[in-house]
Amino acid sequence: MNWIPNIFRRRKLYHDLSEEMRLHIEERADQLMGEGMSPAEAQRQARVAFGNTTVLEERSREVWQWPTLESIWGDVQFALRQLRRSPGFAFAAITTLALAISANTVVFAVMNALVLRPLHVPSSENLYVVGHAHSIWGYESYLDYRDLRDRNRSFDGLAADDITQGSKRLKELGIRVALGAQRKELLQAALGRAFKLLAIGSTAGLGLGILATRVLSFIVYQATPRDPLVLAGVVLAMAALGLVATWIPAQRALSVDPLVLLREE
Amino acid sequence: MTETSPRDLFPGSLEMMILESLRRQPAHGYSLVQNIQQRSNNLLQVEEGSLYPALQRLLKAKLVKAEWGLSTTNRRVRTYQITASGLRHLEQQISSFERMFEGISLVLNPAKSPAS
Repeated sequence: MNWIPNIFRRRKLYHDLSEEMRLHIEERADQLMGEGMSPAEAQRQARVAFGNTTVLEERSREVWQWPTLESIWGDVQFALRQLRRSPGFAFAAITTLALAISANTVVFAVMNALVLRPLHVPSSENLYVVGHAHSIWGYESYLDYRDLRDRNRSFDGLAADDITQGSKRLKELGIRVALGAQRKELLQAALGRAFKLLAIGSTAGLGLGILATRVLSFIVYQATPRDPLVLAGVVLAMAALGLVATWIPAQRALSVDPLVLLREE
Repeated sequence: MTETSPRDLFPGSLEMMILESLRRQPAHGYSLVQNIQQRSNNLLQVEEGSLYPALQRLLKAKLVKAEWGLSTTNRRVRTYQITASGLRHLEQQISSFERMFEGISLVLNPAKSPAS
């Protein structure tokens, strides 16, 4: 690998090259003058015989370069100069990228933790959850667990764990059902809270969005982000998503026997 | 101005001719051009400047080395000299060129080929 010293030697290499080419043309011209040509004509003839100096010099320099890398570097420099010339566009572009990247990162982080990453145990494909067929949560009483563990012949071992930690809302719903609340009431309460949050979020988002488009419309050509159809569509989609996201866990909680929820202390 | 460039010859032919000239004696760019044109009876009208990219390639591959000095006519010139690996490379190039040349002439003049 001799390209590293070449980078630092390059200026000298290039200098030697142009000097050499210049002297070559000079020598040819001198020879032509010696044959009786006028200095101007000799110069011209010498250049014609030599060929396109610029192209030849470029082609000679290319020999020492790492052409792809250097052209990429050139592009990067050009892009940076362009960004500096229009800071508004640069700001919009960078903000857009930052938002999109962070959103993607969050989504991926969740997906990675929940779906992609294997459990941190050896041969995790041999790990099973034992549960009753009639209960989607797979809750067991401790005594049931002890029976299962002691009579187990199918598994290497059995362990009890609460995999639904942090579902305080669930417990709260359970208590309220136990206290005699109607299903409908509870669902309304859960969805109502979500709806309030969604409404606040949507309004704030809408305001910020309109504000941002003021800035953006100066910069991005032909953007019509204040199009009411687009705004309504986005808000409705977000609201629907939010409601579904609260409705499913609420439904689940309500379909569980409240006593099971309360027993899990 | 002639349109002939090293690309019109087969790849590496200019390098080969430069190495061969340098094997006979060290030279600077200008005298290399003279040398090649004279010895080819002016059949190869190489654009004089096209020598320099080829020389840079040879320099980079360390097949030749260059030094600034004074020519016999007292001009400041950059003289090129063939290196040991340049000599080895030249031998290989010549033998593979001769084989290729023989193959091409057999195809072009089948009558002379010993097989038919």
